[in-house]
Amino acid sequence: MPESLLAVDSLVKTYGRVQALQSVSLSVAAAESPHVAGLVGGEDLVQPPRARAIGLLGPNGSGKSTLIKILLGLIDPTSGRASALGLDSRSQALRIRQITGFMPESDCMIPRMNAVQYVAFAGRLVGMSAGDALARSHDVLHALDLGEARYRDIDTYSTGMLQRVKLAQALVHHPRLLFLDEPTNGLDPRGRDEMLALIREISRKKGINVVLSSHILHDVETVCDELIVLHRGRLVASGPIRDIVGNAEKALEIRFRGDGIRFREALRSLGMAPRDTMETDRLLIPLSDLKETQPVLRAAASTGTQVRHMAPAEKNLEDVFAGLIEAADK
Amino acid sequence: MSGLFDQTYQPWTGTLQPRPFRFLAITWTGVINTWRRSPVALLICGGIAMLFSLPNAFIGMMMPALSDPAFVVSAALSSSMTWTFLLIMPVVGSGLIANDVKHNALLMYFSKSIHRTDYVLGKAMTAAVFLFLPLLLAPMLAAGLGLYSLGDLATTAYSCKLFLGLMACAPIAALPGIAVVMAFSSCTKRTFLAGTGWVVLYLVLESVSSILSAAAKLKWGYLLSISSNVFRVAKEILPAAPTQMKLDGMDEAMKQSLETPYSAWYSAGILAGVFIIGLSIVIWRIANAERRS
Repeated sequence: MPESLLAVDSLVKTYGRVQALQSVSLSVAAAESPHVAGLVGGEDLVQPPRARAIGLLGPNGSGKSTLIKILLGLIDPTSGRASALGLDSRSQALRIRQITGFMPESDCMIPRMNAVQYVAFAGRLVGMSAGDALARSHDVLHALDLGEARYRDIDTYSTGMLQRVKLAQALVHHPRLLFLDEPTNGLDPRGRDEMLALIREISRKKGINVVLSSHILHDVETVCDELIVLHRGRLVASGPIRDIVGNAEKALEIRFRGDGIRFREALRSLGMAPRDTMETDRLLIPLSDLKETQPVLRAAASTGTQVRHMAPAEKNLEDVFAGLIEAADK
Repeated sequence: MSGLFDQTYQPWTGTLQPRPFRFLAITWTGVINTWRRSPVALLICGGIAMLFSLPNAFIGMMMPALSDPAFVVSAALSSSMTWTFLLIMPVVGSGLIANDVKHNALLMYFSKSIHRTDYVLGKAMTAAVFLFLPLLLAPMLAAGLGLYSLGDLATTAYSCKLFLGLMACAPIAALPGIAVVMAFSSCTKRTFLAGTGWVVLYLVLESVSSILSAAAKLKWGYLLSISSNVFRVAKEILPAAPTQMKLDGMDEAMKQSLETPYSAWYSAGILAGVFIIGLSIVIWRIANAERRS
């Protein structure tokens, strides 16, 4: 039976009057161990260890960073239990931090150091010998495409380079589980794509489990295959993205022209719950039977709204996420 | 099939060292960074501190009434401590934690497998590395000159004991001050404020102690002064000279004026208390900073 990657049971964390996490419970099992796929030239062909990429999704202030810090044993929960890689976050925090890596959201640099010294120092804090840490620092910085700039003072780095250095310090000891807190913050579109490609490669080809915390759906969709959705400190959904999207309620997608406010009011008066999207002229209307379009057309006619497009909505993570958040707010 | 030259990310499978190596890494990195941050200030302050504390050692040697080497060395230690604390401590100690808090580096430290005590110990050792040399130079010279002036360098056993005693006194002198300056450093992100706070506190305590002891004839007032407490403890730790090494003995009037109505344990207790309170503040502040970051 695969070991538990993350397990959280009735987790509560309060800061004064603010409840950062409200009785969160979830469990994610580790991927199955690597196995010998066959023999090539007399040698075992071992597949890279399988790893999970889990997206921790939620708006700002939903408790994502708090959950990560509790899992790392950096802060104690008010009540409940949390464990990472089968280790208890209260009693085995040092052991957890020895086999995990953490890339914080905020800059966490030590000025007047270059990238090689900084990453090597991070390695020594985990327990690597000075020689190992230095050699490994060069290797990781090369792998993260900072080879040319590695002797420059960190103070002179761009945001994209700083993000890579933060990733390098988290990877230096080859952790089994990597926590990434908003890794694409402050990056331009190209830098963002490069960072996501790096994380995807680390997770899929190098066998490091990744927990990617973000409020950006695109980041999570690009890298992860599982999802944990938090909103206002509560667990809204968790599981494989495919399942979450697949299980989402059916909805009718409407594009319209006219008075949107009156149209929405008319729909509500008919017992429907129209959901806004990022586009002002587009609505999603959850319906149990998508053929029951007559009430929608009646609402449009009564408010003089022109319906320009009506079709079953294609399920995507963005709409599902919006639906989950809206449902949680109610 | 792997390439002949592969610079993509590769796994690492080495062994990890035990925890003490981690705080030594913090110390080593702290020493290098402190030197990089302010080499000129360190050189100037170190030079001035030594310049001011050396004459005291020589003057001590000139006074026949103070011919007990243990006494002279204790006096030289407490004097060099004052200058070291006033000049080098603010430069070294003020940024020890303040800079990490300012740049959010605490989150990097504590996301690794180190405990708060490893961090605090590593930082305290950083300050100690910079303080020990200027702190010990004057008393070492005083001890050497004192033994030389007694014309009995052949008493090597005593010489060795004296120097060893002096080495033992250095942490007693330095650690309470380091704990207090680290407490200041953990309370602000501005290194200037931390340094100034430490200097002001030290001067106020020394002044009040002097006023109470000298003007108000309240000998218990010495307990307020860190340097007087170090002097009192050092006198007990440093070995008394063999009778044949003492020339004229100490002048009785001076001896009485230097005697305190309390035992050295009071001073040791106060130094230990300052150390514990300082470190407690540091650990409490670090825990708070960690939570906020």
